Amino acid sequence: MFSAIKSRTKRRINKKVYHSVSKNVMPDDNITGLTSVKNGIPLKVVEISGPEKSVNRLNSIGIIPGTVIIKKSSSAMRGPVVIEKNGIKIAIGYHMAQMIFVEHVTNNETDQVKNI
Amino acid sequence: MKRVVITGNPNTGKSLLFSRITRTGVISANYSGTTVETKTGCFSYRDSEYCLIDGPGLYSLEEFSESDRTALALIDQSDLIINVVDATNLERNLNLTLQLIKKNRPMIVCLNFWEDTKHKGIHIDTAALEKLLDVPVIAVSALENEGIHDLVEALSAARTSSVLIPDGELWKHIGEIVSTVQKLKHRHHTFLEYLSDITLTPAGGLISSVTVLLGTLFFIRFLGESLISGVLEPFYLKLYSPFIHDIVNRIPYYFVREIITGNTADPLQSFGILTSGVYIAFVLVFPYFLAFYIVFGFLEDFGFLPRIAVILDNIFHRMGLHGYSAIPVMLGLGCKVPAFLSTRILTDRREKILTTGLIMMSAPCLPQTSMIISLGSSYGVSVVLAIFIILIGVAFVTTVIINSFMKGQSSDFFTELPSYRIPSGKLMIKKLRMRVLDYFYEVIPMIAVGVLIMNILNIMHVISFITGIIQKPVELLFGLPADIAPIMIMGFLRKDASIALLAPLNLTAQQFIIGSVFLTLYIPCIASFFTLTRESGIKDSLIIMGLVFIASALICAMLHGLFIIAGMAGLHLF
Repeated sequence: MFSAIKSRTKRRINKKVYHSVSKNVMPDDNITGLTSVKNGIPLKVVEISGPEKSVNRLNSIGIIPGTVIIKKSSSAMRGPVVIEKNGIKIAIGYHMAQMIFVEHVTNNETDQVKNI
Repeated sequence: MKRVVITGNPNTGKSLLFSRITRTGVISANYSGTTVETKTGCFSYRDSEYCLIDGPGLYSLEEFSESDRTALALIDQSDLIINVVDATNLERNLNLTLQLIKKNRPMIVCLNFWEDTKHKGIHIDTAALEKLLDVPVIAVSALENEGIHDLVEALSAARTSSVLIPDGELWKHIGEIVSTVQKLKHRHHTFLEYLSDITLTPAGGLISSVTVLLGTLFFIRFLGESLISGVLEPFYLKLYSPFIHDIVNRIPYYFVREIITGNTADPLQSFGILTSGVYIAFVLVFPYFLAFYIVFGFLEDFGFLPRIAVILDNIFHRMGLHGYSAIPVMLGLGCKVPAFLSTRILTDRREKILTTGLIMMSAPCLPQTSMIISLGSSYGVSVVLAIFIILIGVAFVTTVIINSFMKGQSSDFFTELPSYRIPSGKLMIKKLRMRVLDYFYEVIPMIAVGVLIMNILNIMHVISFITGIIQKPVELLFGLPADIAPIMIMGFLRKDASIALLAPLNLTAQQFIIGSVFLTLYIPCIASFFTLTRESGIKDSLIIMGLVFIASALICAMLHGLFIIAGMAGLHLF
């Protein structure tokens, strides 16, 4: 029980740290966590934070900053988020998905994605 | 002799390829983590001896779970690597390929699912890929059994790649390779892809899971019951039983006759090896077993199980687990042994302990389930339902409690969702045959040993001794007759038989509920006990078993108390 609360606060801190960084480096308000974007739109991964193990796991399957993904679905009540990358569907737990920060892909980039 | 290791990303068809090459049976299915153990098969080809080894899949050379450790160890011990690559998914798969190349071992890249590339509009230039990777690249289709010969032929051409893989920026390098060798054509969604998208929406997911669940239950009940009442029971009563009795009655020794056929004619009450033993295993349990694995095999190969895991992730999170633990639990509905084995896909000890406890409690194995249904239906559907609801409730509460005592938090849910595939009938039949044979290999010796031990214990008055000791506590705590003592011993050997043994006791509905819940929970059967100790070590196994035993005793005592109080209040439950 305790550990759950602790981890939640830890996550909040993490997010804050991230936001402060983002203001310095990328002054873009469009960057959001994967859990709070709409389904079905191409998204570009900007940053992945969180435990090293999670980052490595995502890396091993090709989800790294710069990757374009589509959020396929989110389940009710903090359930997993399903994303699609090049036709592969991957289910990611809610907390892990919160740590994936994405931005909307501009039209120009969308065309590039289609061409690849 | 060369050790040839098949490795690749999860769910790229390694096990099927293994069974195609070695022509042996290995269970394969359409989800990540079907294979958790290693299998070896040796063969010779053109005067060379090869030992082919199949192991769990990997996304990278990094260790996340126990099955990853097994796979990594295999790679380190190999003389030659067959890297199985999902051709419809080149980019993701090449990550592992490039990491394997860095290992400097002779290697072949095998592009599996070649048949899928055509209708997915993917064109891969294998010659160009071969040049870029500097190892032989062979296209095969394990599902359709094509290209297997070419692959075996290429074993002698395997070589260590001389390509230098730049450190870091691996994905950029992969991107370059993919854009050179692969061309994609635009194409329309197939029906299965539409279906996949629909089942991914929250509403569609819930509806499809409920439909599948109800359909499964209906099918199992329908097929199970029609096989029993239409085929097996008439066969047993009209042909088998008279035949056996006729033969056995010629044996002059009463003792031998009693062991073989028991002393009453009712196949549920006599407990002879060849009467009750055969009746329970073949007539009452086998039809449900067959029906369950027909449906389960289909769902496995179709690729539906991970979707259920996604939907259940929420509930599992409340127990400190994540949705992928649902797969071992679902396997446990059939038999505990494969369920315990599949806990290897989980990442840490805490998850393993929790899931193991959950498997033991929430899911009675199929033989038990079918006996609870067979015997319970005479008390009414509500009794059967009550038993299952109690079991699920106990499992949930106990897991939540154990979790609150264990340090650490659940790791995140993370799995690839396989695309739906129409299962191949041939492969399904093959898999079903393997499971049925396993069932018989396990059941027959157990019946013989079980009945023999019971008889010996009986003769030595051990049973009456134990019965004398536990009589009072069992009566006071659970309200069950003392005759249940030998059944509890028997339950360690054969769990389904233990519930069947409740039949001659003429229990009330309340006693039947308590008895079934207790006999389902209290200890694992001998086969699952050995698997459990091998998987979790003696210490963890004993902890889990102790906790589960306490939980089962507590819940049964509580149920007994509840029934008494309800009785005094004038409520007649069941």
